[in-house]
Amino acid sequence: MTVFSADVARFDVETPAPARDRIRLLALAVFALLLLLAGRAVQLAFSGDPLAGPRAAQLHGLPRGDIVDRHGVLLATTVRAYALTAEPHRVANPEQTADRLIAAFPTLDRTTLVRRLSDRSRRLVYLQRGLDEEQRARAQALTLVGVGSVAEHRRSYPQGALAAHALGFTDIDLNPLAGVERGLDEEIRSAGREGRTLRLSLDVRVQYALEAELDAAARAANASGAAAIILDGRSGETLALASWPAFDPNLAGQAPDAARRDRVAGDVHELGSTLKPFTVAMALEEGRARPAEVFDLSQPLLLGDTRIEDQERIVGLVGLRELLTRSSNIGAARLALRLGSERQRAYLERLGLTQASGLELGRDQAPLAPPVRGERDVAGLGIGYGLAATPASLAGAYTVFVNGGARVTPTLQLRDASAVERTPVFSEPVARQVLSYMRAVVTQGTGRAADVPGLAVAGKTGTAEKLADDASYDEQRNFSSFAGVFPANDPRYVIVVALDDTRAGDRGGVVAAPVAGRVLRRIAPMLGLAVEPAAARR
Amino acid sequence: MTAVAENVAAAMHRMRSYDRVLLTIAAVLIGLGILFSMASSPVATARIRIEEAFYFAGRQTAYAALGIVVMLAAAALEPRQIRRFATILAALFLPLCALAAWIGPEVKGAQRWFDFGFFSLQPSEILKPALIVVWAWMLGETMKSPRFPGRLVSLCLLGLAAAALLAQPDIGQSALLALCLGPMLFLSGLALRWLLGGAVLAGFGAWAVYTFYPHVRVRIDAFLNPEGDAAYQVNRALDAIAAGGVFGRGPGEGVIKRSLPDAHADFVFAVAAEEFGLLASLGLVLLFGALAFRGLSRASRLNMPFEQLAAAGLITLLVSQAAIHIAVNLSLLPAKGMTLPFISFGGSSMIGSALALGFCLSLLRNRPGAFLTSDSGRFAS
Repeated sequence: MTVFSADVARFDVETPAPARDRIRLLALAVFALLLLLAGRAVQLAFSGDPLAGPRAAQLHGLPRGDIVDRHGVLLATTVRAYALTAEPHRVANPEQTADRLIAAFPTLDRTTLVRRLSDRSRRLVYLQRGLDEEQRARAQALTLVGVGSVAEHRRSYPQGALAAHALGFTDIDLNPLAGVERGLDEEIRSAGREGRTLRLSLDVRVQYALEAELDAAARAANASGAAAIILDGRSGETLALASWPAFDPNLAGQAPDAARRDRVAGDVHELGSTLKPFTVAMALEEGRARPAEVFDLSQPLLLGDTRIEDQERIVGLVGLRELLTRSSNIGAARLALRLGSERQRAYLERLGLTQASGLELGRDQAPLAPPVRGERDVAGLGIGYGLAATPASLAGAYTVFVNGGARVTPTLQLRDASAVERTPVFSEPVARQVLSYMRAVVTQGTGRAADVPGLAVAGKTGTAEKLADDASYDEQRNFSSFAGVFPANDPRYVIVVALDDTRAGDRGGVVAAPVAGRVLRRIAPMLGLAVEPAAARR
Repeated sequence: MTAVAENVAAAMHRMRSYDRVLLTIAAVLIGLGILFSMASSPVATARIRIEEAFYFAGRQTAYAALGIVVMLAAAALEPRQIRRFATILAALFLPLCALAAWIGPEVKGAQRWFDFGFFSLQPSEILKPALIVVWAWMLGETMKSPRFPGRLVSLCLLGLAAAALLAQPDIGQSALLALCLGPMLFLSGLALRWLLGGAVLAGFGAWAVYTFYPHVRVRIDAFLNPEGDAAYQVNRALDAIAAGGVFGRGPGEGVIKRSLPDAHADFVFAVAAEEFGLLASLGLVLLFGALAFRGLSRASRLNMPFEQLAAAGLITLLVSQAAIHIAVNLSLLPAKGMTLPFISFGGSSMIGSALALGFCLSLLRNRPGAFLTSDSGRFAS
């Protein structure tokens, strides 16, 4: 064998094994191989995230685009579905066909099936819509003559009931019926065509916290309905929007009307005392009241046959701060009377309380603001009666305390900081002054339950008696609300919580303010705000 | 009491003679195995419907402890004992491999295992290091006395092992064994032209058959990929590595790993790369590179042909097994089930790798007269 080289003869135990150089060659080969692997790993690492792109490309040319929250969490999407169809002229025995179909799909109604299967006037009838892949396979496995399926699209809401009222829903043919599905229909259609997603300003984390707290509170208070909204007051972006009772948009057809109803921008109510901060601000702005002024609010105000009085009689001289912390009807009414109807109306218009909120929802209800006739109505407006607006409109109005007196219209879409339109309403000192009063409402007044240590919540509670059927106010049924701004030292966010049809004793400070407090404690870390840990129970 | 103290002192003395770099690499690899099993375990258990999410992580930790024991036990042997022990192992496990193909339970279209209920044994994992030591013995004898037919014996042993493995069928392990015997033949002094000529001829023959005979191609495609969906697996692995990018998604944040079958075994590299990015992928390549560098450079200075061949062969085994695993994950090779030594989940794989590295520790430890220079302290670093 010639394979042995001559150096084998040189080998003995004293000299090294002859393979030294060959091991070096082997090592070189190994390193070359490992270098190749490393290079490939680097190449892959810099090739980009495969999850970032391809889904959008897949969704090109769909009837409706995906809706995502501000961080990209999928809220609504379009999925493949199938319609179970039949060609009646090919169905020999409708009863038998119907029975076999019902054996596989027990939810189908036999009478309807037989009627449709026997309807020979039509070439094609639909038996059931929105089947998924597995159900279609089950139908095909029956091998029924004349029964087939047609591919279609179905709208799916992967988060279930979360943000249901904001999203809305479509009918089986994907026609929008409610929510942004309807309010932003054009955008959603074009997003589907171009394979884009529609990004909302909602934050599902905030949304979930708000819904969970509102649900618990509404059940505890035995309310007939509840609504809440959280805005980034500087941009007007809606972070969360919740109505109670809730529904699952995937099963919207089965939900009762009361559950499908959006109460944030779709329902108007007389808001009550949450309007009082505006009355105070108007008076300050117009020079009709001074921060140092004191009032005697011990006597009821008589306007014709209407008698305005306070929940608890306020004895002694009080300032504007106490007027708000104790929510004095007499005080607010007197300030409103000093302003007069015209100026009041102008301010309410600039506050956006006479028009729809601007939220891109299927139904954005404009407020009911009947014309003001006489002093009684002016005083009523001053304390929040005679004007029915949505909680969304109220939240929009409260942005004046965030933006140094300027209002920003709420939106459900992301908004460029440069595209924010600000409507000046009050001067900055006045806004700051009233904000400090509202902070006092939370630290020492009716809104104490909304306070979160470390967060500096400012706000105002409201309890409006509901109109009874005979157009008189029903003391037994209340609309309890809390409208607030936080953090007061650097105001940015607006929260409005409202519970409908609460019992007589359940005033805004007792029912709505605690909801706001609990929500804020939960969402503050999500917004990057610090709160102090809850004090230990003693 | 003094006897115990003496034993402890002797053990400590022995521990100090091992190469610290190799010991460190072994420790880091075993630690990473446990870390990455935390990432892959929940998805693997979810896939096969085991309730406890960290079932595989727990088992991997137990295997790691077992591996350390096996490694230290193997390292405690002297080279002569290693030769004897490995020969016994090879004589025991070569028939077992054939037996597994015969009577073993079928898992994913292959019969490679013995099922003992709580533990399933894959004999080929133990056979690999044992066979390499036997080859080193045979080839070393040939180097000492050229008339000894060590090469023929080695090739025959490879043929036997490959036959048993191909019957399972396990083409990956057969290829790995051939891949280790090649360099060992080369180190034993076989002329390079023979080796290269043989490799080129075999490669060309395989290519020709694959290209010109469609029915053979179909069979080979099916043979290379008996589990089906191999393209899917590899594409998910590529997605995972690409998604990891430079810094990774972060521990536990992997998403694509959920659609990776065998995330805890054959695709653990991709799972690690998705969560820890280049840090994991380059780090693993670097670790095995360091293992190769340290092992081969020390082996190159060994005096005894058997020791040198055995150490170099075992290092080649570990590094090429890792290279194949990583290459499959990076889609540079067709999908073959190959574990990443010490890191992939699996008791047999852990014991096999621990045996290989334990033998290396013993063969490459500092001892008088073993190395080229008398100043062996130079390598102690």
